[in-house]
Amino acid sequence: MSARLAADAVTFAFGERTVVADVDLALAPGELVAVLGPNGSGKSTLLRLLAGLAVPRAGAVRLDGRDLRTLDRRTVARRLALVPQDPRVDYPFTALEVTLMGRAPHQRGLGLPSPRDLAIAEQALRCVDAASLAARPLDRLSGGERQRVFLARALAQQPEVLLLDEPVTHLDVRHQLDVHALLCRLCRERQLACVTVVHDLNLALSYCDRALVLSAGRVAAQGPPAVALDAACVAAVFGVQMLTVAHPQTGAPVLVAAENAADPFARPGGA
Amino acid sequence: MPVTRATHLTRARLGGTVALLAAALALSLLAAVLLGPVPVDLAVALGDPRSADHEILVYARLPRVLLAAVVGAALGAAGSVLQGLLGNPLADPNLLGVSAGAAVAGAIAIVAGADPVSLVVPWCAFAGALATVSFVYAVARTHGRTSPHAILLVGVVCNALAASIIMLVNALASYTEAQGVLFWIMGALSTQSYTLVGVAALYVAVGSLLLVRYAAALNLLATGEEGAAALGVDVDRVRRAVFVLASLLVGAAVSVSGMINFVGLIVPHLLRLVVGPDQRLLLPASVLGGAAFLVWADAAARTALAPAELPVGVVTALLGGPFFLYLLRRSLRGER
Repeated sequence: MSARLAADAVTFAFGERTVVADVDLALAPGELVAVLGPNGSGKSTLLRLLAGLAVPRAGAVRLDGRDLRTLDRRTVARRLALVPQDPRVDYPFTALEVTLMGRAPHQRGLGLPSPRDLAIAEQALRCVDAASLAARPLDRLSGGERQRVFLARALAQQPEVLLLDEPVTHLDVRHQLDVHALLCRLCRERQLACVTVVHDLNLALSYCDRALVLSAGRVAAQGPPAVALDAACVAAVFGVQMLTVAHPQTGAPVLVAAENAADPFARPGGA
Repeated sequence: MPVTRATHLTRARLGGTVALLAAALALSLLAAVLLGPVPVDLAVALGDPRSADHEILVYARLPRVLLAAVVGAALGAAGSVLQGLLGNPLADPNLLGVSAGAAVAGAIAIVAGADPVSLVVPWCAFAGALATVSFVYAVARTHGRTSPHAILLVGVVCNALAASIIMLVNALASYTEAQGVLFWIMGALSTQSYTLVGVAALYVAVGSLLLVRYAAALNLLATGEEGAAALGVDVDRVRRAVFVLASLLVGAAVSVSGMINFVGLIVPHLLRLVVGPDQRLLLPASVLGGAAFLVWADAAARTALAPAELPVGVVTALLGGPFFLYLLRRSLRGER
């Protein structure tokens, strides 16, 4: 299968400080890839590069073989959606208004919603279990509810590629599982290509097709989650001792923290 | 404060609200031409072109009321789009120093010999407004964000700088030139020729209509620059266009009426509470609402101490100052 979105040796720096170095990633339609790494390892920057919001200093990001730099923003926005890390809105737009914004790249002129736009937006809100929030102003919603509305906005864009920056950070456990199940379903059913930044290693293990582990801007491991996220990699990248155990019901690998894993003095090579 | 409103903008709601506000503006215009120290009989004024009533209505009151409407429309529109673009409900052409920048450029033009009612002054005022808004933005912006409080502080500095430059210009000018500049800056509406009102109206109409093109993009910008870019907005182009068009409006307003404070702050803010934050509705509503607001403020200025007349800027500042402090308290407490 050919890559829908491909990063070829992309490198990005803020001034002298390199934040992403030499990252390769090929994303096929229907594939769900987790990006993991410690704080400050370049995950969000990689996502911005993949979305074309940051221009790589070296290398290139291609959407169906075409360099993002040669495509205009509207063309990209019709095919690629981004859910930002900490969504906020300056004014009290309602959840439905924010979701309808996802239709903007498909609209002309004033962009008043057509019945079809409205149907798509309402469907997107139902997808993320937020239909009941439609009339509520966003500044009255909790962090998790806002995050789901922004996911609905991205779905309303009807993209082929969906990029998510920590989409489940503010979510309770049920909605975390719901969102990941939804992403899996969208990838299977609509052949969506999806990259999501997650902190929860077990979410990546149980829901994603592939994991890309970043360490100081470089790829530390990339492959099937069970392979890329083995205990040795986790210890090397995160500096935490974890054990891979079998899920009691499914037998699938699950990572659990070792005894004293959070004690810096107990870490091998720790202070 | 809980406000009930529809969940999204529809054609019917846009059309209905705009029609309602247009009707309110038409009634305000009619009421305002009948208000004044001398009572005017509308039937006589319209029936007899040689009557004193006709004279007062057509040559004294109507051009002034229309000028108030044009200036109010310009300030309302500029306030609405600047608040949208900067993501700051406290943004206002005067508080940001944009009007002061326009006034400086206009004052220099007048002292340099330009006729205050010529076309040179509006263009200089436009250039001054554009230079100031670009400067305030450049200074207050760090890491792709403009801090709401930094932008107000830079605005304060710009206003103080502009005031001292105007004093300097006045000190260097002759007594009559200085008088002309002071009178112009004080924020007064006076009876002007229909030609001048027409030219100002043309600038304001063109500027406002072009701004409507960017209304949808301004909505997307409320979710952050990256959020808007991810939805296909060319953020730099929108920002440039909005700054240029808002400066055109402010330049036109300042060049015919000097600095009139707080209209651009109060009008979009109150309307947002009623019609919601969507710029596709808020912008036309602010044009019509700003026009009606200034027409009434001017009517109050003409009649409150009749036969003496207050500068309209005094009326808007007396209303707007306390209102601004109230908004500032809310924003400091983290509310919207």
